Amino acid sequence: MEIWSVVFWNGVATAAVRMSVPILLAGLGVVFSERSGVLNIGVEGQMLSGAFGAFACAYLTGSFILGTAFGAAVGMMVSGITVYMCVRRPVNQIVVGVTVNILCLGLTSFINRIIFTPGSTPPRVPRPAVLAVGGLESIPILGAGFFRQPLPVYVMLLAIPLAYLVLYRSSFGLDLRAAGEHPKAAETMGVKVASMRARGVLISGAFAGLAGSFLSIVSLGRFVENISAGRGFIALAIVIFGRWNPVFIFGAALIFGIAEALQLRLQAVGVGVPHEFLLMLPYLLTIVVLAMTSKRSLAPAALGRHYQRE
Amino acid sequence: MSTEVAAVEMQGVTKNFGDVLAVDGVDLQLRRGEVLAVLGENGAGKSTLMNLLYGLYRPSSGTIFRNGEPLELDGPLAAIEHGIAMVHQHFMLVNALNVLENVAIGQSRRRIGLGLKQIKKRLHELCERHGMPIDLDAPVSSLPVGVQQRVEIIKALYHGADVLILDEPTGVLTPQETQSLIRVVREMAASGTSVVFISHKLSEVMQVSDRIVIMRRGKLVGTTTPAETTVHKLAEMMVGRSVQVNRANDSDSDRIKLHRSPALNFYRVTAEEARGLPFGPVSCSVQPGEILGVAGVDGNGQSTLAELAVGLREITGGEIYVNGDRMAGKGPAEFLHARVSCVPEDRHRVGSVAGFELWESVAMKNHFGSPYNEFGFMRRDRLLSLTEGLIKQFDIRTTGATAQAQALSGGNLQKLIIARELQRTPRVLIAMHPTRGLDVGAVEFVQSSIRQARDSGAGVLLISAELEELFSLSDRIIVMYQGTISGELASREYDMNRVGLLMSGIQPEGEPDLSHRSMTS
Repeated sequence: MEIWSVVFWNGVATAAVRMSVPILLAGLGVVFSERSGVLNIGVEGQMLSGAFGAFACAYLTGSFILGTAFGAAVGMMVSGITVYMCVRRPVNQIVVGVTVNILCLGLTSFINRIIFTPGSTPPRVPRPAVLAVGGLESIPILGAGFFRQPLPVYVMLLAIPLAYLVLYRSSFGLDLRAAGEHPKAAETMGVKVASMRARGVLISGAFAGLAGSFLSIVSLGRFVENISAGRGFIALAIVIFGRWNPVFIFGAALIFGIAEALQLRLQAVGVGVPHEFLLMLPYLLTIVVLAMTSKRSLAPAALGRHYQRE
Repeated sequence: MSTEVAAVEMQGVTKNFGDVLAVDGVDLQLRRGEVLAVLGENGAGKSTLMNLLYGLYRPSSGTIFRNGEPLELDGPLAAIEHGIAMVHQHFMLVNALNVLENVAIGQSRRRIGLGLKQIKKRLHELCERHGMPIDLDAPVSSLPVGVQQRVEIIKALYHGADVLILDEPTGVLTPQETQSLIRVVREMAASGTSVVFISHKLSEVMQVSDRIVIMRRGKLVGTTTPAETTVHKLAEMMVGRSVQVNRANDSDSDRIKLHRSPALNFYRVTAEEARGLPFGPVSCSVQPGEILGVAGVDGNGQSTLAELAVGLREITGGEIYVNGDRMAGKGPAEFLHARVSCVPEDRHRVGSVAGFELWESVAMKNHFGSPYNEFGFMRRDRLLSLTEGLIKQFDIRTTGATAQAQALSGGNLQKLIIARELQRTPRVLIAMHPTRGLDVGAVEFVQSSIRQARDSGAGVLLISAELEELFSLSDRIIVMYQGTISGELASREYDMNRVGLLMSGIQPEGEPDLSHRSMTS
């Protein structure tokens, strides 16, 4: 296939949007957690657990919907660890996050081997069919990207305006942001800071679980060990790059989606570069993007700091 | 008026923290629509008393009545529900949000949407009624401090407060902003709000209040009215002995001989922006044996000036000379070697290390080179005896050189830091808010130490928010506004009103007009 053909780029566009969805979802969740003042480094582990939970549930029940819901629930449950350690108790948020990630990597691989015996053909669930939006799908590149996707992609993209409305147009969003900017001021206005932060982290966990579900039962149709492969960390990066704003984060997620799609397609076409280098592309991009991020940080003022009531 | 039920009444209110009696049997009445000033030194119990009223603490004994009913508060939120609000010294505002959003915080248990339209309408009414123009859509971070304070007041009024506690409200204001605050407070009182005005500034208290109560060591030691008293009498009641208010400036400009090389010289210095504020170009110099005062509202570049002068920040343009040596591109160690000493703004976090013992704190600037360092090892014995000597010389109240820095009171810690800095016989001394938060005794000591440093030949850069302190200590004053110097005054030109205008970036026209000296009288 010719690299400079529309067909090639149509393929890239379709894959790019699909690849960006899990990063986007995890990123949107991280916004809730971080806007409330809690670093959610554990997002990678929550995503991985969600991916496994969703696949196991979808495989055993045969229901796509149940699988997705269970994935989100597992992500949320895992984030409960962060709530207990970092909101209820003043443990260092980075250390907790890293620990959660290691724990989840081990646990999901372990349980996976118990339930689905290795060696036999890996179990699969059917992936949702592509649902083209009539007429619009034939627009070159854009149509391929946004109107030739399985149904879950469209549904998940709705999370962007939803997150935006909740954060900026609701009392809950305002109180959540106040808890992350100036918890003491929020407290004097009657906001229960700990409860806001707990909810921020739990929402983040649910989003991460959803992102994981998407990876296992929408994108791949099966579970493989460490399926998240650092996408949670990329989500943390795009939140910084996207200035904690859902709309910008979508833009940032798309850039990473394109990088991933491109490396996949280039591998398929067979350019003269070892595929290991192509695989590096999204992660390399993360480093470059973070280095470019402006010095004047727009991070929530109390991010990462435990709040103790007097 | 005495037949009317008081807005707040305290009967025998006591609060102790362990063995410390912070508030001791206070009886107090706050009438409706009156401005009650609570006067006292730092540590006299003013803030504790107000935190009791505000629900942050519960009284150990005694009762607080609100409109004649006993009041039990389990937190600041409950206080607001009872119409009691407090404007803290450090504002409880979220900088990243605008004024409206700040007022809208805390509704999430009652409603889903924000209802900003209704809030805006109500706020407009309140702003107009009390003559406080506020741009409601502006982010709080973009507002001057004086306006942020109005936002706090309007926020309290919006939530239905009719008892308003202002905790040291003028500490961060220019004299002009102070005057406008006093107008607002009088206006609120006239419309029925009771205001408690906590302060240690006598002239303001005389201007703003209907009644004045004076606290000392947790006790109420007097009640008076501005008509019955004078600034001098108030000062005596506050301290418990006779004091001199407004010490005259004992320096005369002739004493400063013109040296060929200033101790510290800034030439068209610019620095990178800090907290959204550009710095420079700034040109100024301090002669040996001179105190140069730096006035300005907090956050107008004074911290940057000090950090540049000790090498903590890099300059982006211009030149800095210490004793004639070019210092551009050099770091704190080189500045130390050039004998630049510094009494930093934050004595707990920058000036000392809480977990260090006193001798270690002293060692922090003495550990390189002989005699306190041999072959790369610290000479603990010599440092200990140095510290013991300083403790005696500076009358630092402590158990000894091996006590922990965090066990010292604010005043004693400041003495330790000043002792360490002066022991190095500095050529340049940078003193940032050296007396902030200290009691009167410690203030006198610190001020005389600064004079001593000057008299022994150091060039002193004194940054302070207390104009009276600057007037009494400085040989010259420069005023900073938005990162540049907005004016300079020789000691004969000192005038509150003039400095106040310069602090808000307004150039007073022509020579100072002495008929405007209303602030201090």
